[in-house]
Amino acid sequence: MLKVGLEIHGYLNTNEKLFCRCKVLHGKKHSESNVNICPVCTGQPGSKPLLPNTEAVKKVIEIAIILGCRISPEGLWQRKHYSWPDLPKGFQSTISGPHSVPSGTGGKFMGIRIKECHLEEDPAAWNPITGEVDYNRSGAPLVEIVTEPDFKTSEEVVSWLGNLMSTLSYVSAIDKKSGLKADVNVSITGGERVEIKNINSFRKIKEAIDLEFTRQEKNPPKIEETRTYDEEKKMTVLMRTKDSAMDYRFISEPDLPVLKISQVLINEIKKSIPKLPFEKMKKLVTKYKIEKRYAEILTKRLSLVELFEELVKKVKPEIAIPWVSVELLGVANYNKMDVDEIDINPEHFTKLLLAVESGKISELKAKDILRGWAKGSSPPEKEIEEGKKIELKEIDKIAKEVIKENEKAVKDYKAGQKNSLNFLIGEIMKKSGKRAGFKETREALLGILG
Amino acid sequence: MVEKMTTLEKLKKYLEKIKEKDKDLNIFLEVRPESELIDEAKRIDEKIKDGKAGRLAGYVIGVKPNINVVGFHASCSSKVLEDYKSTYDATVIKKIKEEDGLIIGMVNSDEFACGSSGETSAYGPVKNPVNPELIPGGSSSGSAACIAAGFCDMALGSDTGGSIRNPASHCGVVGIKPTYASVSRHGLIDLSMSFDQIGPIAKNVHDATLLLDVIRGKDENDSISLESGKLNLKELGKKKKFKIGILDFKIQDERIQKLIDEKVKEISKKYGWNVKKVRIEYIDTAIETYYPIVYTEFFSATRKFDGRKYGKKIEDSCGPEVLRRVLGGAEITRSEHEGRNYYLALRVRKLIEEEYARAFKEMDIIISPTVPRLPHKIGEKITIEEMYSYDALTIPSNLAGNCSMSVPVGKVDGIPVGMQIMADKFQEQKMLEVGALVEGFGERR
Repeated sequence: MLKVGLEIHGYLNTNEKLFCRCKVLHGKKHSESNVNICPVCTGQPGSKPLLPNTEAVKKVIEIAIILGCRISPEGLWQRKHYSWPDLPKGFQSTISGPHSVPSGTGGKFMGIRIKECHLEEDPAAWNPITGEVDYNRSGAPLVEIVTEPDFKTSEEVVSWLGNLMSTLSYVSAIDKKSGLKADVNVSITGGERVEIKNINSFRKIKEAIDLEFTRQEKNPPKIEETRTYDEEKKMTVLMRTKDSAMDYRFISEPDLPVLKISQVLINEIKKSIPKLPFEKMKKLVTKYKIEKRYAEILTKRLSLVELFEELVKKVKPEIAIPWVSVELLGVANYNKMDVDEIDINPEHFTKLLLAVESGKISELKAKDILRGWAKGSSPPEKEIEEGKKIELKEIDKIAKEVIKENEKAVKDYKAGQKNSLNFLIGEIMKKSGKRAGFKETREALLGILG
Repeated sequence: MVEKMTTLEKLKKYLEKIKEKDKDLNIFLEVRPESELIDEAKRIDEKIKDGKAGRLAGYVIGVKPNINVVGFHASCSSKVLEDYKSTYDATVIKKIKEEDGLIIGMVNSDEFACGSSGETSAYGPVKNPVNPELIPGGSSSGSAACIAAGFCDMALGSDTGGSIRNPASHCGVVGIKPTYASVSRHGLIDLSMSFDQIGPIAKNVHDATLLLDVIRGKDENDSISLESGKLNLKELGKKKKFKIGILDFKIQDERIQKLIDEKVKEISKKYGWNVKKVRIEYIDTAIETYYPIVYTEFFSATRKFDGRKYGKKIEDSCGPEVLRRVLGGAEITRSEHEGRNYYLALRVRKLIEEEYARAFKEMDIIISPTVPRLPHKIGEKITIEEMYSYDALTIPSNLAGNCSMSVPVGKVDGIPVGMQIMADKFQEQKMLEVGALVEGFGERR
């Protein structure tokens, strides 16, 4: 039997870094290398950490509350030492490790037990090819969430992760668009635990788990080891075994006071947490009388609920629901992506669906446009204009041409083969560049064929 | 109390002296370009004339090379950082500049402040200006020597286990280790973060007090720094009564203890001080408690010198004492020890801290010699235990986090001897008032 546990790093949604006043860039925003830096986040000799960013502290407590964790009243900062080009100080500052109590412990979220969650800082970004180090991210506040090995399938992992990220980004605790990094622990009954380090997308996490499962079933691991996922070769590769495990030489941070978390603060944060998406979603299902088959899809993915909510501000729910729960998922599957990896701007989607709703473009044309959004949506106005439905007269003309060119199909139809009508409709669609409305085409054909 | 000489005249006098004598004494690592210094001295003199000058106008100041000053090499007297040029000013430097202090350059020290003799510098040992055959003490060797040699008025040092007081004692100048966290460490390159403290060294208590008053105070850039009371210079030298404790502790060189005891007797008689002996439990374990903490924190602090950013990896380019501490720290922090040694040491340290807190409920000041032995000859082989024993009386103040200072009180064998005056945390004013009265009895240089 497969057992999987996760260590997830998410970017906290703060304006500034954890121990200095430098800005944190969020989402897909990019800037030149090494713009938001100072002596602290580049680890210049003699620099000291400022008191931790209070926004970051609050957000970690918020996350701990949402994950149902016990909150530690005292956070003891630790230095976790290792040598790597991306690490300016030679250690990472974290509220975890053998001499500390993590910010939150012993929780449960959507059926999965949470071992701990804690606050720490991000290292810089190192490019192994050019050797360049970009410190823009160095010192950005991260939350690390560690689960117990409660997952039994890779599908379960990915859908849970999606829900976790959506929930936490819904309350603005984390910045979902900055991505996540996860270490994945995989083991099978009777085998030792294997950790796969640093995977940064849902798709890769699923692939790595599936590949590792197959590998372990053939050859159950006898010692604990750390591996890495090689995406190109589609295999996990050994990094080190337990014997050569990294020693982080944890010590308490002498340059920072103990982080005190008062019950007053915890209560304040509890009060400020908005209704969580999954509770809200249950209400949505009742409010919009969503069919069971669609509701089941939505309950697995909170990001879809969020998107749906945005869309129904302007689009009729019965139009929006199949587009979110069927069509968008179809695009993800076709591109072998996770639906959360598709960057859809709700405004673009709304415009597209309004065009469908008003009959300006055909559904087929709209699906075409949506398919083009696999790498991110764009304003659809131009495509809508170019792909707008043709007039009845035009349909009539094309229909007559198609009838002439497909005598056999016409004969078959007249002989009682109703399927042939669909074939003819399809031919008209093709000829019109999907710009003929389905209903109109059908009526035009029936009119001619009698 | 600015002397009658203008800043420019004084600067020129110092520069001349440095040129004449520093080849031999090896005190300065880097002197600022002369034209730049002269321009700044002129600017300061203008300000003095206009009555707009800051409190340090007219003072020429040397800086230990583990403190960042924009444009200077904060080499820590090490090859590891020989190419590192500071990109920012330490908070203490910023404050000095704001008060129109004239920074003349960077002085030599023990490598990464690891040493008690001034011999571990990668740029050669510093000589004691009082007797160039002898060590000046350390690790702020150049900071004390530059005052004793008459190269400048004031200097900044750093004190982790006695590194300001020890050379101040051997060189016959005044050195202050302020209360832990009362002076910002932002910009001070780490030795042992839970002990490190920047402090002043000067010719007399007045000047040292003035510099301390400028640099002290809470700083956002040093999260554990704390606010402290303003120092009142006018109270220095006023006749006052104090409750004095003489530390009951046997030291190697009885002549030093005798000199201290005599001075205390003489002064207390004059001012009517109440004097009694005081025992501090566990201070015989001070050195053994101190070094595991120093090794551990120094190991952590030097992980950034991995050869990737500052050119040289510390383990490959440092001297033997620095290497001993790095390797020692790497051993102590191994996860199989589960932090035992470091955390045990921290617990003993807490006990010593409590012992001092108890003692200071009964008395204002605890007096002892600053250093239990006289300085050795440069190059003379001494054991590591002997070397570490130089700091037996200064380390306890770092363990307790309180304030202490060394004031010259006389000579043994022609070598200056300092009296250590220690007070409770944030009781600098009291300590300095005692220091100023003691100074009146010292053999003035």
